[in-house]
Amino acid sequence: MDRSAYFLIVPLLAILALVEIYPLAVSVNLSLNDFGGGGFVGAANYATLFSQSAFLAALSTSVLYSSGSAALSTVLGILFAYLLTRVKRGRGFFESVFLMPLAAAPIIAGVVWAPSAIWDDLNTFWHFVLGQQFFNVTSYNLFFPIMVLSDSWEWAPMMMLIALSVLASVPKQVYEASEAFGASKWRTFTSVSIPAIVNSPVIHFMIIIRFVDAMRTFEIPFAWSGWLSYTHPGSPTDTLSLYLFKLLLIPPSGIIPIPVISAAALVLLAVTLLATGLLFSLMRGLRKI
Amino acid sequence: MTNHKPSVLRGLPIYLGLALAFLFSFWPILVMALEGADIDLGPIFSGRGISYVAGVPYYSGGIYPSLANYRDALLLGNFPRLVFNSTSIAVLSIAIALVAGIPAGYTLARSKLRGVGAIGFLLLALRTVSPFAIILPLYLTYVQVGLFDTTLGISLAYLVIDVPVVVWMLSGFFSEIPKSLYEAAESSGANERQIFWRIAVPSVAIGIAATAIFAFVLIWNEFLIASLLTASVTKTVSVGIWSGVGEGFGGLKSANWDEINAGGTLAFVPAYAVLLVVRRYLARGFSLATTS
Repeated sequence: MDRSAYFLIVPLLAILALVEIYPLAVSVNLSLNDFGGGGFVGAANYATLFSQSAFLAALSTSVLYSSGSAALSTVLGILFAYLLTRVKRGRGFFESVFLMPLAAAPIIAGVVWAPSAIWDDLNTFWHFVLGQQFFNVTSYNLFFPIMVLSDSWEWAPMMMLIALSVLASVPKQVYEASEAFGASKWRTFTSVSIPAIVNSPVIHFMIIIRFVDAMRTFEIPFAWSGWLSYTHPGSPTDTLSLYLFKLLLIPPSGIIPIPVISAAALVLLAVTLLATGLLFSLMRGLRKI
Repeated sequence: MTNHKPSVLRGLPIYLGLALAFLFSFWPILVMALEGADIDLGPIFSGRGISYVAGVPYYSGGIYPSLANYRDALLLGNFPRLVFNSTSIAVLSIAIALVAGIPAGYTLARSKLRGVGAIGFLLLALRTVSPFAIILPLYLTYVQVGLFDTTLGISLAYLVIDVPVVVWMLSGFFSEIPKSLYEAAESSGANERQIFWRIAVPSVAIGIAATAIFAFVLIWNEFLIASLLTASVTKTVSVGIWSGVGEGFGGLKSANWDEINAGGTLAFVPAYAVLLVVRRYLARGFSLATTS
């Protein structure tokens, strides 16, 4: 290809400039000025932001949530892929069922896993059939893991598809050799399939994408904060996106703190970029081993 | 071989795992569909009437299935309108994304010119941008220029979601075309334009369709951007079935849970149907996109 390559990416660059770069530039501008017309205020909005403990709490909630979801969805996806490679009949059927959560809207994941839906049934079963105490789903130690689990429920099918394609790329001879040496199916899985998956750049890339996407997560914590009546900013359900959403719709001071929201969005961007860079170098190191 | 156990027993952990994975994946979907039909499984376990759990009365009224919520959603409510909105928004946005993304994906896959490789990295970096850094400026601009709550406005905002998906997956599919095909075309005198239109695009046609469908599902299910950039005119399905939530945040309990579940089920069915059709190409698209 010659220089015409540059022309072919012009439409893409135009779109990125319009819907990404321009809004980002406006955000930077908003975050550095007083919205009431007070002009340039430097880092004052950032100082306000970091003085709010609710913001720091939301930031750490987001990091915890994203790490948990990226890890759990990967583990579940790999397990599903393994089960599918072992099933003799009905693989297509099981695969279509395992794919279901991927088609469900994230907001649906927020509600079907909520107390009134699944937990209602589980609790009545747990109590009336097994004779145990009800789960108190409103306690942080339970609802936070459930939020992470429902996020992983949503995205595990995607990791499963990736893991399946990685497993399919392992040459058949490797499996045959492993079997010829008398290795059990499980042993073959742990010493052939798992290394193939763990060393695959595709999986690494998808884990990073999963983490990055989960850092923006909103719907599941949103549904739960409704359930638990955590309507004020700074609740234990609040990821950064939810925290900013609450600041926007129900600002505690009565005035929407637009510069502070912009500043927070940019801090989130910086944190995510930093984490992505760290993950990249971590995984590059992992591949060398 | 030292395995003397009967084959049924050897397969047991696998079938147990399959059963668990099946329940884990399917149970929530089933609960949603049943709740939409007013079916709550609780009474099966607890029996009807009032029972006491640690001294607290627990009432269960029995099961009275009804399709009223589904009927109302389809016939009385604004569900058809929401479907029309979601579909036209997604189609417009994906059309724009394809116009820009097909040539860009092709270039990413083929060109070795300086700077082109940086585009892929730029797209990943832009994916880390919080929606609020985009929505707030867009909202302020849209209100000024009259794009707020319009199909065009929200479609443009959704380019943030579908453009990276389209460029990544298509550059993967384009990179799969054997080099010899291009060389043969070049040696028989085809110019760049002909190679692109006559060889490259037709060979990835199915990939383009699969990518467009995946982007459609993502947009169909998107909630946050739609809830902030649309209002009564262009409200989407995922926001609409939650209107009880979105309109009075915090007043979630006033929302009719069964109606939401019925709406959720109705929204799930088409998304799942199209995803099933393209699942093979999706798996390949994801892996190609990340290796190219």
